[in-house]
Amino acid sequence: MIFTSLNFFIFFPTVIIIYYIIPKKFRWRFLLIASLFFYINTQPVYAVLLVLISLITYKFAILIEKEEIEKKRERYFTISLILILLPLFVFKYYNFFNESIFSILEYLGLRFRLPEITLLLPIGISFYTFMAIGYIVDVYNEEIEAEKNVGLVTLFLSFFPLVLSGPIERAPSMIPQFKNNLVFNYQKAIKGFQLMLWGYFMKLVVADRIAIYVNPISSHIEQHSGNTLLLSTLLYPMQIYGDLGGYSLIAIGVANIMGIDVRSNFNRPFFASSISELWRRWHMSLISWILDYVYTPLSFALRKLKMKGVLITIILTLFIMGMWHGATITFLMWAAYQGIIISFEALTKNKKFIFEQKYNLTNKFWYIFISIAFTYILFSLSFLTGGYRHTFSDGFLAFKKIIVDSSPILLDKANLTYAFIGIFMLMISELRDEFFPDKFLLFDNKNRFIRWIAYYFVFIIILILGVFNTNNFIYFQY
Amino acid sequence: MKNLIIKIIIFIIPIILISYPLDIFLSKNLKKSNAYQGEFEVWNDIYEGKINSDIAIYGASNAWAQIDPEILEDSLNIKAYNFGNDGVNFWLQNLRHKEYLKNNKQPKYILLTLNYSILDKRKDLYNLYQYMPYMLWNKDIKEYTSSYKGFTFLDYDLPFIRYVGKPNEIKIALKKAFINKKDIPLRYRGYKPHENVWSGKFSNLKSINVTFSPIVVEKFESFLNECKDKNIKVVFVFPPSYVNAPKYIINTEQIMQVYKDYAKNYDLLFLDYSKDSLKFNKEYFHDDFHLNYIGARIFTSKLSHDLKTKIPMVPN
Repeated sequence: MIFTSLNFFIFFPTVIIIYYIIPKKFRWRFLLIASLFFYINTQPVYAVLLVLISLITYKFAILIEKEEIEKKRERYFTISLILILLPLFVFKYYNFFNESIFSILEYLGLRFRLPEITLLLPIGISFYTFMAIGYIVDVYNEEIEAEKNVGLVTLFLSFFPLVLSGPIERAPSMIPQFKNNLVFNYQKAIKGFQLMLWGYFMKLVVADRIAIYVNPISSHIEQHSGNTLLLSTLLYPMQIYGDLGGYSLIAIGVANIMGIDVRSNFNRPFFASSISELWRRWHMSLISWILDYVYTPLSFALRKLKMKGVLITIILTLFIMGMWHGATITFLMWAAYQGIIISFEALTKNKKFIFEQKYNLTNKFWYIFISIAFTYILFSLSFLTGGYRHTFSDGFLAFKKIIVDSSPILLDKANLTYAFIGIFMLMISELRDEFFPDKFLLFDNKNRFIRWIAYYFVFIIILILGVFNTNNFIYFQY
Repeated sequence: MKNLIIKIIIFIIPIILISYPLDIFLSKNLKKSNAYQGEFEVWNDIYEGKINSDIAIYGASNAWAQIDPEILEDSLNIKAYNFGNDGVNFWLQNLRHKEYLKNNKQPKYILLTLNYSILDKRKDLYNLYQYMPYMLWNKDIKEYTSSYKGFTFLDYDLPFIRYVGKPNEIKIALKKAFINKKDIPLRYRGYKPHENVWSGKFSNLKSINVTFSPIVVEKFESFLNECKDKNIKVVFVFPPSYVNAPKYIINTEQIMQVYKDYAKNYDLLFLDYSKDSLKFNKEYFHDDFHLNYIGARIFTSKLSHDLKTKIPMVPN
């Protein structure tokens, strides 16, 4: 069951009605049942895995907290991380490592290959695994107490708005809400509906319209011209933004309607003025998780190496981020490129101003354009070619075609026009939020008439330009 | 909470109220268009009861683009109408048959154009937009199209839902409503020949073994029985295809035998042009499976001659 399916439009109102009818003390239990039903309805077999990881997380958090001998605590901590990461490794990384080790052994004249695993990746595994690790680390670092109720831990990991594609939440902000804060809040509920409406717009009008153009091209790279591939790669970041950004807004909206606050995932990423800033605005829940649980401990450990330590930390952090997206060479190259650019930005933080002065580039336009546009192209190629379908040579072929092949562009005029209407509306809205946050308000306008006109307008645009026959979100594969 | 529920209801009510008139408005204008190869023209004639013909030509594109009713009318001196529907197997041809008989005078003869895959059933609802203006609360369309991948159950019963996410169809309907420009009819009594150019379409097809769908076979047999009961004479017509065409189908002989058996069992005339000399001349073809305009005229003349000699056709 996903947010754009008919099942969800039956499931969600039913859940909301029952949720607010039953007494407050039963609400989190009901949410747990609803969340498990939601996941079972999506992937019945893997619901067992989700429950298993919840039980491991719950049990080990308590063991870590109770244990007073540091060595034993460490041992519990390590075992818990291994157990939580094991399914992710098996489903997502096993084949990559198996293949890589096989290639190395073959190079050394040895032929030894373990059997391939061809199981479907459990939806949301990367997300709930990271949430579980975050919780265990927080308990280990004594930043929070271990939760004594297994149901609450399970709900934290399986909470239905977040379980499939995030935002990646933290136990200290979620578990207390489940315990104490499940009450109706009118303003929050209205905000929730507004976020859901805009989220559906981003998903159905922007992402899925672009997908009609981009997806067939990405699956037959060899058949398309360089210009067509260039247009696809430039549209693809917008598609992913619409897809995951839209999903996140719907998820946050659904949670808000139930009185629960969830962290934001995007903050107008296309208005970033550097790559480092781009990564502070894009998939923020993942980035902040990586900053808190990877970057900060690493940079602390490598603090003696000074700037070298910072650079190593940046590259290692981005390597992990690349691996999180997928165990393919293209993702790793994309992550390495990001690491280099961010390191460059860190190193030239002060010098850039002189450089810009010298060449009269005070508005950073060229730097932003070249670095970000190139990032988007690489980002697209990594995602388009790295998603378990293509090899690195396909990515290279696409890149080569973009540079040298100037054959005519494929234009699906009607569909691209609809997609650009969506992109235009999205960008105008983000431009307003970025530069005039208190002006030209629509959803938040004090005048009810304007507010309702805005609701109806967006609703009608979704009805007319939305694509309703795709039942997928890109980040389900991560 | 109460306040929020009231607001949600107030938000939804205008949408519900406007959905039915909007549906009527869009459907009424969409069917004025000649989009989807003029399929609306045929459906409009069917639902408006405008078909007054003694010969009904049934089939897929090999009927629609290959049998000219004008030539049949001239030669046989009785009225004919071509119901050929692009890309459909017998299952959906039977939907047209059902709607035709429900709204019009029944024909005396049905020329059932056969091809190798008429008794198969594809998964997708090809050219599904042709049903949109007529399908709201239409039980027949629901019965015949709901088993395909195309519409959801809501599309048949809730006004406007089937137009959701269909900007092209909405645009066509709005154009028809507000820019009062009449489309040039694409069909003449359902017929629309292919251009006199070789398109090369289907040339990349791989050879397949055609299977028959049991439910289509059942429908086909009940159609033959129905025609018998209603005293409608069915004639099987297998039009010529280019000499290359049989190479795409592995089991042509087996399929032809099935048609021969049906003809024999139901005592039907079977006019088989699959081995006609036309098949060797590329000039008469648009692609491996379809005659072009000239080819269609030659073929229809041959067909009308054969009909004239083999069955005495008398208008009702």
